Amino acid sequence: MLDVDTIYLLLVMIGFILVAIVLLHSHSCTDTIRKKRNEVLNVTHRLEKMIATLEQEVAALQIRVEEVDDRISFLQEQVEP
Amino acid sequence: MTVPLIILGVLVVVTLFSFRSISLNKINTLSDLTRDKQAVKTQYDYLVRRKADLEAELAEKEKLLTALVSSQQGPRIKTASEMRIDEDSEDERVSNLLLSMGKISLEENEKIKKKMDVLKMDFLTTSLALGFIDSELSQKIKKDQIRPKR
Repeated sequence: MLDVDTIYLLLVMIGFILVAIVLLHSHSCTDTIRKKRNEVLNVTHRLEKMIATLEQEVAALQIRVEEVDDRISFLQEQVEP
Repeated sequence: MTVPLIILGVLVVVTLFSFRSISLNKINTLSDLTRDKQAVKTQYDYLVRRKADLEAELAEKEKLLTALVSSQQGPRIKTASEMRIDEDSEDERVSNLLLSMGKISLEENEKIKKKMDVLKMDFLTTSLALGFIDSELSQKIKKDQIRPKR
């Protein structure tokens, strides 16, 4: 049978091992989160640039559609006064 | 022996609790990030679809506009014939009329005017002689469009 000192020494060692496991897990999770955050930031940044360009293009297209609408209405009024 | 077992149990419980909270935090953070990415992607997809829709709409409306402009040939003839018709010579009226009908281009118009002096003919006959209009149109213009000289 182990004496009390040995048992407490084993407990301390088990404690260290458990703390190491928790630290490793924490480090692994933080690393995963950091990688994912960087990936999302890159994608978001790229998409935001494309969104800005698209918004300008959509606005220009809307203006052109409105102009064509106006011209069509004008011509239709001429045809059917 | 009981005290070390209790300490061991407490250590295991604390470790499991920490492990679980770290994992939960990771899952929550990753799902938040994925949601943010998805939101931006959804906005991008919406704009791409909107742009495609607008392009299709514009193409359709431009086609309609072209059709309407083409169908305006009749009124354009009228407008051209009404356009300062009293002030122009007969040749000018015919020139304007043919241009407005789209039967001759500006370049052809200039060519006809140059040839008129050489051939000593009027505008209509010259354009007929040069083959820019056919005899049927020439007859029609003579009958319907040209008002008698005062």
